[in-house]
Amino acid sequence: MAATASEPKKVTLTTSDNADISVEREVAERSILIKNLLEDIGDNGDAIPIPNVNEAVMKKVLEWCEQHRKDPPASQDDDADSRKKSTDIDEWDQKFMQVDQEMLFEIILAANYLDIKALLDVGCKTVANMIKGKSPDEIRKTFNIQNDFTPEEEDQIRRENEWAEDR
Amino acid sequence: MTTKLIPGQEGNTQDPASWMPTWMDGLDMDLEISPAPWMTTWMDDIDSCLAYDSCLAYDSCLDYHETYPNLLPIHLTSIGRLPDELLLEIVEQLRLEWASSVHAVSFVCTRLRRIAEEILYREQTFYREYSNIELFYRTISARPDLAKFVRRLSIHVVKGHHRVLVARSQRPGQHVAIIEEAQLCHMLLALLPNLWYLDIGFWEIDWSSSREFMSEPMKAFLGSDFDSTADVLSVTTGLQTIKHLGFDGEDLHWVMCSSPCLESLSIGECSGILADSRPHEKSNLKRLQLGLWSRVLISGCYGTLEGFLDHFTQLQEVTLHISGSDHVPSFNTRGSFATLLRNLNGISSSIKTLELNVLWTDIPNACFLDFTDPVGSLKHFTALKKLRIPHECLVGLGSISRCNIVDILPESIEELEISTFAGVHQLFEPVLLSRHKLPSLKCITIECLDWRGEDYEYLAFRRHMYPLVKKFEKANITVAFKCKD
Repeated sequence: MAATASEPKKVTLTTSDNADISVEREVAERSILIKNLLEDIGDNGDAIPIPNVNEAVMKKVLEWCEQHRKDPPASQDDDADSRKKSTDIDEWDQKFMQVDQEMLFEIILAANYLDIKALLDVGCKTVANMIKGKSPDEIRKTFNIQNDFTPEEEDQIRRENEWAEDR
Repeated sequence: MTTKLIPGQEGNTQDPASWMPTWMDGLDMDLEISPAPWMTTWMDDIDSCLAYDSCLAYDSCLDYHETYPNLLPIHLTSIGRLPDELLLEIVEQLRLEWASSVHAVSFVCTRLRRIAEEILYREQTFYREYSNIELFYRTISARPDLAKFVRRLSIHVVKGHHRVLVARSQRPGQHVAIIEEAQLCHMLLALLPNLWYLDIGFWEIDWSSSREFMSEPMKAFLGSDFDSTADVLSVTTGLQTIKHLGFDGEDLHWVMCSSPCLESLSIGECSGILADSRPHEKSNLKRLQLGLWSRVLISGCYGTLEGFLDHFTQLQEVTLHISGSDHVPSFNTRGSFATLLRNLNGISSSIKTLELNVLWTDIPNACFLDFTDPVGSLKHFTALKKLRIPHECLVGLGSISRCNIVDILPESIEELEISTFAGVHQLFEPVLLSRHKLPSLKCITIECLDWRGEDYEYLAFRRHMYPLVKKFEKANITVAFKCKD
């Protein structure tokens, strides 16, 4: 019985595809959304519905939360100057983000929905790193995007943003 | 299709529309010039270089779609599922590290253009020959929707002129005018309704001589009809919304700082201040950083400073940086930090944080401290909670034992940070003897002025500070010791 008492508290999350995932409360609370939910409604043992995230993405997000469970809480400082630059992604996170694009953007959307600022930052920096140094064509190819500009519009952008060239 | 020239293409030279820069298309030009053959070739070269350098020399849309048939409209792609707020976050991250790539993103597709332009125009720097400020103005004047995005600008105004399009005064249309850069900045700021951070400098470096300050550009910036003595002055539109102003230049005038929203003002060293005739006008400014030359320590110099500071009755944080200059104060002309602080007399009761910095980098110039007396009393700073000061300013050089800081500091003081050298514990002992005179004091930080090795901090602490810390603990005062990096 004593061993049971020392076991970490767990919570159950129900994903959008109706899968139940049991996870340590400390890990789940990396999500501010879940943390606030647990604080507001109390932990009565009921599963917490996460209707915007499916099982595969949720497992991936929880893998990140597990790795970062001891990180200090996110700072409230929104000062742009204090933010880390794009390249500052630690090695584990870089490997973690080596997934297909579909999953990468699902993780970003989930991090945003679940309010996990640090994971959202890592996701955005990963995408920024995929863009940096590329020409418009290369960016289109990377993300499979069609060019919907008319030649006249391209000319207009070129003219309007000419001041920003070579910056 | 584009009107740009393809290098080597025949038959372009006769039609001005084909050799003029594309941005002049459709203009009602005052200038009548025809291109010499060398000029056409030169412009061809420039155009092709620009197209290549900016990665814009990609295929036409039709060719492009044929080459990459699997590309999709953005709303059908993975990245297209992200809401605008997240795309903005990604492009903002990109700007921090690879600003040039933001420009490239604006050419990808319509949706990303909108996102990239918001980031591109949000914050920009225009420094000297890399500035392209006239091109920026050209776009801002034509696109008020982009002008709304501009929040932060850093501009170093230099001597020079730009060719820009301006409205005709008598008849409709526009014409090309040659305008001084400072005047162009004035026109630019007037178009920015949401600007809240402006860092502006009116100077240039002349590499053949020392740094030189100009007053003419400042006049041009403030407008040809600017009269610093007039009772009514209009603040430039772009300055009305700013919360932070950084200023570098010789001729700072109160009108530059009179934005009702201004919260912090940072004035670079070397600045001079013009007299103004509106002392009744007050500012809501909360934080001021002011760089001054050491002649401010001599009575009678910087005569307009006190009147200028009197505008800022709400000031809470003041940082004064003093740099040595002109070999004054000197043996013949003695100075005093009390003289400097007299300039704050009118606003001393609102200041909660005061920081004095002496810039030490140049040893010959730092000698002015040998001829400068300390602050005297700070008792009239009745709201002062935090003071950061070199010990020379507080108690003077070589006279530590004679000065009692209890008689200098105001009762309200809570934190004292003093830059000095180790072994000055006797400076603080009077505090223990007269604790009731500084009842709010709860923290003293002693900052060693220079880096003296990894273990120095520890050793100095053991040698000098440990006994002191023990004594102060009993009086509920924390003592910390740190070395400057």
